[in-house]
Amino acid sequence: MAKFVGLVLLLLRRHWNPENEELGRVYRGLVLIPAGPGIVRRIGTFEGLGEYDIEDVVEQEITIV
Amino acid sequence: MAQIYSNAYITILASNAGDAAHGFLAHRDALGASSARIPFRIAPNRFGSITARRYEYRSPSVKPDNPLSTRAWALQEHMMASRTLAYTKHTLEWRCATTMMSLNDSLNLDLNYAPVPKLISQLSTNPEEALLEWSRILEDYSGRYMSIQSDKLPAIAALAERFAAVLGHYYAGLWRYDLIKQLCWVAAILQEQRAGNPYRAPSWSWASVNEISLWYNDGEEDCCNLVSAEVLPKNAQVPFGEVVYASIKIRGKVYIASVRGLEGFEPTHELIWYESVVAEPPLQKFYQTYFHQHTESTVPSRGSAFKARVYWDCKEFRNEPSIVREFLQIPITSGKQL
Repeated sequence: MAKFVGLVLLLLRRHWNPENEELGRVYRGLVLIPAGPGIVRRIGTFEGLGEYDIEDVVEQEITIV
Repeated sequence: MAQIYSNAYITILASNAGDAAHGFLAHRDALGASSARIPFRIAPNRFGSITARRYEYRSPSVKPDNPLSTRAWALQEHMMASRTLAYTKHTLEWRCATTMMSLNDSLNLDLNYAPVPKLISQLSTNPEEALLEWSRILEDYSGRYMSIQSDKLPAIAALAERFAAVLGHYYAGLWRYDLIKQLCWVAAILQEQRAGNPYRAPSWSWASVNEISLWYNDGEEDCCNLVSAEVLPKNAQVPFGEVVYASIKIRGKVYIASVRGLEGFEPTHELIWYESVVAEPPLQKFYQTYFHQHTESTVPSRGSAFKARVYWDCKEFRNEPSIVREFLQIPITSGKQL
C-alpha cells in the first residue's frame, strides 16, 4: 500500500451526529490546492472523515481565487 | 430585460415550446397516473379537494419536461414577473403573489422543489429563509442551459439584485451573510467545462461549474472565518453581473493528511474531470514540478502517472460516493508550500 501525503484540506464545518456517536464529529470541508504563495483554489468538497491520518494542522489565513 | 418582466402586468410563458418557432398550444396530457384527488371538508357545508402526488426526487441531471425550464435566462424572467400564465406540457398554470392555480387542478411539478420558482415578490425578508430560497434557486439554475458560458452570473443578476436587499453584499454568486456555509457546494456532475474555458467565476463560486448540489444543514459550526472579499466586476455599472476577478481571504485550520488507498486500478470516467483540471496551465506547472517526483518508474508519462494515482484514490472512495467527491491528493511538498 502506497502512501501519498500532502492533501491540502481545509475543514470548514463540523456538527455532531446524534444517531451515531461512534462517528463523533463529522466534518465537512473543502479540498484545496495551491495556486500561488498563500493562494489556493477550491477543487472540491468532502464530507466525513475518510481513511486518512492528519499529520499537521496549521491555523492561517489563505486566499482562495 | 428584468425590468420588462417585472413591470409587465402579466407574462405568458410558452413553457412547452422548444424554441421561438415551436407552437405551444398542443394537446396536454394530464399527470393523472401518479396523482390522486382527495376530497375534504372546508366548512360544515363546503367541500374542497387537494391533489396529492408522491414525492419523487429528481437529480439535477434529470431535465424537466418543459423546455423553457431548461434555459438559464428564463428562470429570472419567470421569477421577476408579477403574474404568469404558463402553457406547460401537462397543464395551464397561473401564478401570482398570492396563489397558484392549474387547469382542472392538474399538476405541473416541473422542478424538484415545487413551487419553485416562486415569484420574486414572494421573497422572504428573513435572511435565513432568503438564503435557503437562494440555494434552492441555484440547484435549479446551475443545471440550466445557456448558449454563452460567461452568462452564468449575468443571467441571474436581476434576482441577485433583489436578494441583496435581504442578504447584503454579493460576491460572485455568494452572499456575505453566512458565506462560509455557502462555500460547501458540491458539483453534481463531472466538471469538464472548467478546463480551457474563459474565466467566468472564482473557483470558490458555484458559478465556476455547472450543476451543483448544496447542503445547508442546521446545527453546524463554522471552523473558519471570512477575513475579506474582493470582487472586480467586468462592468462597474453591473455589480451583480459578470466578474473578471474575485477572491476571498479566510482564516481557519488547514489540515495536511496522508491518505490510505487501495492497490489496483482500471480506467474510470472519474478521471475525466481531474485530467481537465490538470490541463489548466497553472496546474500543469504545479504537477510537472511536484507530481513527477513521486511517480512510479513504470509509468511512461506524467499524464499517465496522474491518471493512475487519481484512480487509485477514486477506487477507495467509490464505495461511498455520497461521502467523498472530487477528491484529489497531492504530494506533501506542495502542502508545505502554503
